[in-house]
This record gives sequence, structure tokens and C-alpha cells, in this order.
Amino acid sequence: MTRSHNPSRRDAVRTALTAAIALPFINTKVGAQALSGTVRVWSFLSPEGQTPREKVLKTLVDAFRARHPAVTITIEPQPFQELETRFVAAAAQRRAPDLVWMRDTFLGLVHDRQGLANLDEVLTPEFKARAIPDMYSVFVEKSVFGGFRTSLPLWPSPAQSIFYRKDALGEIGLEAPPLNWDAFVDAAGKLTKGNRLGFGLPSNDNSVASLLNILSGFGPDAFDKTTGRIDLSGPMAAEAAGVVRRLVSNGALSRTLLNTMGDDIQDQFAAGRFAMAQAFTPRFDQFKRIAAGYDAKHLAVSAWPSFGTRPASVLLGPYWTIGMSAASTNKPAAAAFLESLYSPEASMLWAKEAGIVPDRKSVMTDPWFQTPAASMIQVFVSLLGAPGALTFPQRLPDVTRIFPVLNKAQQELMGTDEAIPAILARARSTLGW
Amino acid sequence: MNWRGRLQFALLIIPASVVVLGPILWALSTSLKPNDRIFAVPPRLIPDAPTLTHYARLIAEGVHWSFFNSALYAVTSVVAAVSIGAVAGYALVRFPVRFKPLVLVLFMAALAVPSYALLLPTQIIFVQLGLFDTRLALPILYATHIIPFAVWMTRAHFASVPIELEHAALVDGYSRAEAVWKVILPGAMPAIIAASTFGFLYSWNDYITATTMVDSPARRTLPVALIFFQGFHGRDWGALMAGVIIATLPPVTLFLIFRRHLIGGFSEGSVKG
Amino acid sequence: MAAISSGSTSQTDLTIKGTQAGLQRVGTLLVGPAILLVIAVNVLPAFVGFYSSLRRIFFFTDEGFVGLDNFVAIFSEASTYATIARSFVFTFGSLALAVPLALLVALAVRQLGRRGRLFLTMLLVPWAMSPIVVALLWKWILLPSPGGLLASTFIALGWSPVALLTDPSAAMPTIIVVGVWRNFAFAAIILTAGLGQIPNDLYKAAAVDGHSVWERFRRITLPLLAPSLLIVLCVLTISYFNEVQVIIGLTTGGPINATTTLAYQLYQTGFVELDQGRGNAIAVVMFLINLLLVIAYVRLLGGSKGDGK
Repeated sequence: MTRSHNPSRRDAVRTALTAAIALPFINTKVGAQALSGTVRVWSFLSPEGQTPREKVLKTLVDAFRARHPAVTITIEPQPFQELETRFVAAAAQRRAPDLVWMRDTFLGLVHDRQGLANLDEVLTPEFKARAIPDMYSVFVEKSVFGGFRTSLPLWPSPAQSIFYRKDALGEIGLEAPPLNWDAFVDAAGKLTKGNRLGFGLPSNDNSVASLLNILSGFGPDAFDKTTGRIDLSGPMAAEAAGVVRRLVSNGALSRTLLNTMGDDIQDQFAAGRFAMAQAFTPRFDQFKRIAAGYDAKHLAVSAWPSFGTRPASVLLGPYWTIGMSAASTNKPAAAAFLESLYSPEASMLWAKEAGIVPDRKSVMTDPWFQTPAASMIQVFVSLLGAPGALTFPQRLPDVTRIFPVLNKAQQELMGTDEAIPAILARARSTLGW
Repeated sequence: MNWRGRLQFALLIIPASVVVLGPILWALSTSLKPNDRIFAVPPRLIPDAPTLTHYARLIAEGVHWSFFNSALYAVTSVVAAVSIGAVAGYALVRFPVRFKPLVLVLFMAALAVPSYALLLPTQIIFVQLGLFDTRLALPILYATHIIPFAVWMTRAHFASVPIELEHAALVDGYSRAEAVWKVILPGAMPAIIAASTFGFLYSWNDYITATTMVDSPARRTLPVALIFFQGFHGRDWGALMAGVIIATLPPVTLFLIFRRHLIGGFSEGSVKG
Repeated sequence: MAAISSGSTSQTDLTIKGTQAGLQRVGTLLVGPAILLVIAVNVLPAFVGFYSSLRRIFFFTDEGFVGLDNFVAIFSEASTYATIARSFVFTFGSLALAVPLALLVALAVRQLGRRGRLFLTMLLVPWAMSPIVVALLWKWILLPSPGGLLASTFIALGWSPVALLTDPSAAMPTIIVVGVWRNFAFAAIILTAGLGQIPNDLYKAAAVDGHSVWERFRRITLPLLAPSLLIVLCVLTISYFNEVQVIIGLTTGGPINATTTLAYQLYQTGFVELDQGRGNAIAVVMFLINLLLVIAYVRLLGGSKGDGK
């Protein structure tokens, strides 16, 4: 598959950047190995893709090839929701790729099927000593199951956040959404005007449940320490469900807008349908790009409200990680390529070209991060480091069923008048908890 | 046509056209709009700033390769299925095949199984046979799905051709094979074209089997490639609609070209079957 | 579909060439490849699938034989019966819309001659599209307002913009309409041909006898159309009962399970929740229901139709 080359200034900059990344390495013999062979990589990104992230990946692949001409990197894009299942099927059938992108929520399941290599055995000592401590430990630790490092986290971000329109909030005299649920519900109700709804909440996704996001307002206590389950018959779940009900009764949430996925919320937000919405933070740039019903410059990000006096919460997941197949026949080359995605230069590229928080914390000292272009990244970093930020337990129980079940419960909360305890009890019994 | 006929015709055609073709026109319109106009309210049918960026993006991302793969698989499976199917259809009519009713029941039952329930076992079997993710995998599966249909259509046709025609040819000195090739087959063209068109449609439009049996982008089909525009960054409706148009053109074109045979062939199969 | 009895054929052939056994061998040889392929690719995996339904398989890991546990679990859940009911609502709801529509179109096409055929060709265009393409297209059109085409049309007409795909009471009718949109014209082709088989003289005679249009329709058209109707019902029933792509693309089974048919439940269980043993069990149930439906049709409507297809 070839692409026609269209020389432009951006391409020139990128070529220069590639050379800059490659140069320091061309002169040093990395570990004195001559790497060769093929490295097959499964990702949802495509080397021919036109999105910023895909262009960065292509640059990194080209830079790696410049350093190791005998290695062929083959990136095979797969649908992003099927990466984990395809990988497990492939591993069982002995045709797994060398590297694979996975979402952290399914790591436990994939690891149980023994398809992943222990990265501590293939990463260079230098990388382990310098790079890993330089990455966000909240994500790094989640990939380690009993001393077995299953993967490396990529693109740290405050995954579940609230996108809002400053112009809409300005109408009721607010600069940002309130960070306490009572005040938030109130404000959301006031923001509903005419065709515009105060709040957009997806209720249909197989790896995101808004109810969990609301529950994160109780902090890590919401998840049982040993089983990782939520107590669906307890007061926290009831209060979270109550928030949804109140948002419906004051008009902030629509009773008939059930069954919406994050994508649907994104499309409708672009058309001006919501004042605020639950969103996946990495999509910020995309939201801006498709804004049609409002002026994109008013788009901003906020943490999730919390309950009581707890700090505002941010749910740090799901996020992407990269693992290596246990049966890979080219581990040295695969490991080298993997490490190249986390170099300080690579982190700068991800940040500058794709607007992502750099994996390596140390590069934040670069003066570029003080420029206006990096303002969103600064916001993301502050959200990441906020006291209320938390991740799911390492092993979320019944992870393939918890999201559909909770989403259905949420649809029932929004669309019917059934009593909250009954709805939650049904969810609980469906999950077998 | 008198005025009443014309009126009837108009009353029928206009709403039907709007309902049937309207969505596709809307897809075309969307595919030509720039990203920031797609969600504009109120929606406009004729884009005021038409652009080809979505089509350009599809090509940049290699959609033409998926297009080529889809075409390759479709043509291969149709040729294989119709050849095997027509031969079998002919044999079922002209030869005393053992267990004939059982054979027909088998074909019918094959159509009754929800095909995606077979996906995982088939995937495992194909992997063990080394066929998974090869250029052979999908044609084999598609051809097998088309065969019962091809048998049905051709058998219906052959059953309606009097044996005397063949005998006349034999008397004239042709061998059995020649008689079939030169005399019977041309007459079966409608049935064959109908079966081929159905087969092409099935192969070209399949998504579920294609996404399960092929992992590498080099061997992907068009419907699977389109899914990527519903990707990690949200849905790119402009590109998706451009993909809809590209995916729809070949089958519809084939349709228009062969419509007489298609309508004729299906009807024959259904009535005489 | 009457089968020509092979008796007379073979006797004639006997005088021309070979023995009965020889002919049978040639015949089997010619039909062989078709049968082998169908068995290998359809029947074998079906047996593997059936076998898998007796085991607990989660996320590609076989956890052992569990007998009929999967089936017991399916049928002891109250929601299963609602799901099966929804499958029937979707199937017969679609038939109730598609068949009369197809009949209407067939009658119109007959009346209009050449132009009718052109009309029919145009109506077939949706059928030429991939189900996933149809789902994408209609998802786009049915986006709730603002921005969605249909919603905006409603507003323009002064109606309130019901969010068709996200409203629990509107979702099922909507997917029925989309499903019918896609393939009613195919039924129309078959019915058109069936109508063509009815001799015109019958109508003329009935007209002379003073029968009204409706009576002519009831006494001549319908009965003589029965064979074609049987085929249409059979094909459409199986098609609608197994329809899943439209549901995945438009509503993913919601809202609040309003569009979760058995076919969708199979997808949800086997491909989303990754309970593959149970997914296969649902597939077995679906296969049995499919078979029952077809047998029922053949019994009810097609007594004279010999060996079915």
C-alpha cells in the first residue's frame, strides 16, 4: 500500500524530527545487537492513517527503521474494540502478533490466558532503570500482576472527564461545572434551554459505564478491596443512581435519549445539543474539529463532581497499553521498537503533534509546554495529578458483563419510573453478585 | 398511457423513489460536505462548499486495496459456486442421484443455520488447515454459501427444459457434454446470471464472516475497512458516507446491467423450482 | 416446486447410454463437490458448535463439559422468553409490513409493463447494499436532532422530533422499517413472477361473471399465488429471524433491551460478553426454531410442493 507524497511544510518538519530522533542512535550501537527480522504489531492505528496519532506512529516507525534497517515493522490495524479478543484467539491458535495494543480493563483476562510475555525479561536494563520510573506510576503499576509485567501503558490521560461549553455555563454565571454533585445537578438543570440539554450521558458502551463514573465520586471506597465489586445494594450505589434520577427530573437528562454511545454524544455535542457531556478526554481535539452548533473555542474540560467534601474525581481509564506476545519469535526487535515509543523524543512527538500528555514526565520541563499550544496538555496533567484521580481495580470482576449490565440499569433509571432499589437489585442478580 | 395510468404511476413512483433512493442521495450529499458543515442545522441537501476530502482520505488510507480484495473474492466465489452449483443442478435433474431428497434437505438446512454461529468453529478449523487469513479463506466460505442457491436456481431451470431438446442434439451427433454446453447452457443463462448476481451481492456485502476470517489489512474486504472510520476518535460521518457510496456502486451497477436476467432468473426459480 | 420424477428420465437415458449404476455414479460425481463443500463448511462447524454448547467456554478458554447447563441457564432466565417474543415480534412485524408491500408493488409492476420493471429495479437498490452499509446509512439519517435528517424533517413539518432509535417505544418499529426497506423488493420480484403465472383468462371470465375486483383478488389471485407466497414467507422469515447487523448498527439491542432479539442476544452473549459456550447454545436454539418455522410453512401452505426446495 503506497501513499503519494505530497511535500508540505509539515512533512518537512516531520522528516527533520525523524532525523533528529534517529541521529543520536545511529552513532551508538544499541546494546551491540544487529536487530533483524519482522515485528508484527496490532493496533487500531494505521500507518496510512490521517489522524495526528497515526502520523506520529508513522514517524516513529520510520525513525526506528532508520536506526535498524534490517527490521521490518508491520502494523496491522484491527477494530479498536476487538483487539483483545482477536489477540487471545490468535494466541490460542499460535498466530499472535509480536506486539499488541490492549485496553487496561481486559489485561487481567488476557494475562490469565498466558498469551503475554513478561516485559521485565525483555526490556533493556537501561529502559527499566530510566524510563519506567519516569512514567506515571498509577498506570505502570496496573500492568504488573504479581511481579509479572504484562504491558506498558501508553498515552496517559484523565480518560473520563466532562467536556463543557464555556458560553453555555457563562449564561448562568459559571466558569466551570460545580465539582459537587448537588450543585452540579442544580446547574445542569438550569442549563437546559430550548433544544439544548444540560447534560449528555452515554448509556450504551461495552467498556464505559456512566454509573461507574458517578460512583467514582466516592473515591476508591466504591470498589470492594478484595473482590473489586461495587456494592449494588449499598448506599453509595443508591446515591449515584439518585443523581441520575434527579438529573432526569430536572430536565438535564432526556428521558428518551437512552441507548446513546459515546460516539452519539460526541456527534450531538457537535450540533449543540448539550451544554456539558461525559466524554473520553483524548477526543478533545476531535470534538473541537467537528463543532458546528457552537464556537469551538468555548470547549473546555473538567473533572467529575464528587460526593460530600471529597476531591473532584477523575476516572483514569480505560486507557491503552502495549503488550508482547509470549510466543513472539523476535523479542529483541519487538522490545527495541516498544522502547522507542517511550523515548523522550517520542514523548515530545506525541505531545506536540497529537496533543497527548507525554509518557515521560521528565520532558514536561521542555519550554514548549509553557506555550499556549500546550495549554490543554497542562489541563490534562493537572487532572491526572488531582487528589481525586483514581483507576479501576486491577481486576474488574465480570469485566465483559459489568458494563452492559450497568448501562442497562442506567437506561432503566433514565427511561422508567421503577424504584431505584429494584433496578439495582436486578443488576446485581444479573451479574451474580 | 392514459392520464389515469400516468397519475397512478406518479403517485406510486414519487414517494417510492424518495423513500428508496432518498437515503442514498443523502449519503452522497454528506460525503461531499466538509467536516464542520456535516452537523449544521438545518441540514441541506446540496452542499454549499462541496469537497472531495473524504474520498481522498479513503484512498490515502488504502481503501482501494480493500475494494480490490472484495472484488477478487466475489468474482472467485461466484465462478466457483456457479460452476459447481450448475453442474449439480443439472445432475439432480437429469441423473438418478442416490438420496436425492436428502441432498435437497441438506441444502435447505444449510441455509437455516445462522451463519455467524458457525464463525468460531470455522475459524479454528481454518487455522488448523492453514487457511486462516489467506486469500482462499473467504472465497471458500462464500462459494459454499452460494452453492445451495445456485443449485436451486439452475435446477429449476433445467427441470423446465424438456429432455427432448437434449436428445435432438444427441441425435444430431453431439456428445452428451457438447449437447449440454452448446444447447442447454445458453438457455440457462438467466438462471446462471441470477445466481451469479446473488452470489456477487452476498460476497461483496458480507461483513461478519470477512471480519472474523481475515486479520491482516492486506487481505481485508471493503465492508470491514469501512468500520475503521467508526474508530477510536469517534465517527467520521463524511468518510463513512463516502465509504457507503463506494461500497454501493459496484453491486448497484451490476444490478442495473443484469436487471432483466436477474428479475427473470429469480422469477423462474421461484415459480418452477 | 414440483420435481420431475427421475423415473422416466432414466429409462430414456438407458436406451442411449450406460447402465443405471453407471448413471448413478456419474450423477453422484457431478453433485459430489457441492455436497462435500456444504458438509465441510456448514455441517461440520455446526457439529463443533453444537458440541461447544455443551461446554463452558469463556473468552476462548475451554473450561470443561457442563452438559445442558448452558441451555438450562438460558431457559431459566425470565428475560429469555421476552427475547424470543421480541424475535417473533420483529419477524412477523416485518413480514406484516413487507409482504403486503411486496404484493402491492408486484401488482403495480404487472400493470405498468416495461416501466414497471424499471420501477422494480429501482426498488431493489437497497437490497443490493450490504447490511452493515444499510445500518450505517440509517444510523446517520436517524440521528436525533439537531443534525439528523429525519429529525430535522419532522421539525420542518411541525411535528415533535421523536428520537426514533433511543426511545424505547419507537426503537422496534424503526428497525422493522429499516429491515423492510432493505429487502421487500426482493419479495416483490418473486411475487411478480408468481402473478405472471396466473392466466389472464381467469380474470376475464370472473369479470364476465360479475365478480368485483376484490373478489377476483381473493378467489383467483391469492390461491394461485400461494406457491410464490410460500417461498417469500420462507425466505423472509429466515432472513428476519436471523437479522442482526441492522440491530447491531442501529440500536445495539437497546434501549432497555427493546430491540434485543434472540439473534442479537447471540451476538451479545458470544461476541461481547464472550461467553462462547452459551452463545453456541443460543445458536442451537435458533437453528431449531428456524427449522420449525420452515417446516410449519411447508405444511401450512405448500402441501403440493413435494420436496420443498
